[in-house]
Amino acid sequence: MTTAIEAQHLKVFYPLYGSSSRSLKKTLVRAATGGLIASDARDVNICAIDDVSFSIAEGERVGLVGHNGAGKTTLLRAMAGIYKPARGTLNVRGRIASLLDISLGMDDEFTGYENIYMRAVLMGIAKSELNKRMDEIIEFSELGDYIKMPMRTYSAGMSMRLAFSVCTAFPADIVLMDEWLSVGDAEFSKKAEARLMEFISKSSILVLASHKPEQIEKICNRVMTMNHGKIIGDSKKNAEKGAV
Amino acid sequence: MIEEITAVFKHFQMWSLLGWYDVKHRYRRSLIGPFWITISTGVMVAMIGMMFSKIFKTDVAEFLPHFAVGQIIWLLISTQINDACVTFVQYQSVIKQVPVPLTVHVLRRLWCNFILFLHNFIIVIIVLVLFGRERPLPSWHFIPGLALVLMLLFFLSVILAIVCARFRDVTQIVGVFLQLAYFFTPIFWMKKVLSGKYLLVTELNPCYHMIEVVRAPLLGSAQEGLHGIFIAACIVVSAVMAFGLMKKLRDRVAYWL
Repeated sequence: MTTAIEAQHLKVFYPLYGSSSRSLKKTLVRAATGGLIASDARDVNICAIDDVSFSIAEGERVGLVGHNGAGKTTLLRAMAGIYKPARGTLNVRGRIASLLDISLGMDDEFTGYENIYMRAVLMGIAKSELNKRMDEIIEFSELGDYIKMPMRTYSAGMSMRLAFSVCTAFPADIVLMDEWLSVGDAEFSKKAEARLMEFISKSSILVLASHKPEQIEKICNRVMTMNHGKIIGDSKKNAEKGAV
Repeated sequence: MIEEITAVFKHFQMWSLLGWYDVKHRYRRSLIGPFWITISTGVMVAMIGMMFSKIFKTDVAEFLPHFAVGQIIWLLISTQINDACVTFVQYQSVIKQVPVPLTVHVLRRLWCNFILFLHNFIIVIIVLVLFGRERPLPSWHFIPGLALVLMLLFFLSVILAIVCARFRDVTQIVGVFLQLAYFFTPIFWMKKVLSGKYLLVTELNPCYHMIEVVRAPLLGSAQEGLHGIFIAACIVVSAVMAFGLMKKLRDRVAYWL
């Protein structure tokens, strides 16, 4: 099975429920009055992705660029399978590693060790698979004996290092990233950069949303520009340039 | 859709670990941890049990086990139903980041509450041993009874979690309803005080059947069969509703949060 992402006339709406239409009373009253007062609370939809079609094939490193609110993150979440298409289709084939929020599920009260389990289980990694990589994850995070301490004793940088080490330990077919990850102090961030590059090189598709042109330039071999939920530009670079 | 059902087995590791961590989290930094709930429930059961047996002029050996077992099952039911309403809201950060079946979050919550129930169950054992000589022997039939209660709670939780994610007011309504249900269910009073048409308060009350299907065998009266049938019927109805809602709305839940 080849890894691929294919979208056909993809549309994603956010329903915007004001406090009024979220309440049951409003809906009941609306039902009881036969829609007479319906005008005050008709669902307002925000069209975050508007009729988008594209296909991403193996080996492509796609950079998503565009203003704030152009729909980049929504598109990433749709690819991750969180937002289901309202119209059109979106086919994603391959195991996804989503680096949208790397510290998801981690908790200050738990030790570093427990947080590794917590983070990995949310990524869908089986315990047996995790145990094989455990030592390597702890070693890379450079936390040493702190791994047995509650995370509230960590500095912000230390928790990020831990989250980063877990998230990049299990290669996947498709990597989704919202802004390039850079963690830790100068020395660690060099090491992290190398690990992230290796992680991406093991995947066959990367989708990176970023505001930094030089980052996109360095990593990606295809740039999709978004504006108001539409893709307004799609350019591929020469294959050898983006050989990550 | 089908993965919402198979998630029970396929994502067992995920919901059991997360549920267990929820229990652990609640009692971090306290010395005896979750046994605080055992102690607080135990003190409450002992004090109220003795006082109300005086008020109702009932034998302590009859009233206290009735109250203790009923109260502890009620705690499981009411906390789970209350928690069910906020399940998706509470775990929204996870729902918005990881595409796992929604039932995983419901199971996580239910598992956490079941573990807390097991802590409270120690009190049931203590009470049954203390009053053991004056009572008939408990029957193992409480185990299938408990399994039925958990199944019903699961389906009810799925329904409530979806509905409350969309209509946040329902959470409050359920809270009020549960408070009332506590007084209309024979927990700190005994069913034998009712007669005639007032018996309907218990006969049509699902909370009563949920409690009794576990309590009756534990207290050694072989009446659990009918309660089991009532609950089984509730399970069928709620399962149909839960599947219907899941099928129609599961793709929308992430947007509501």
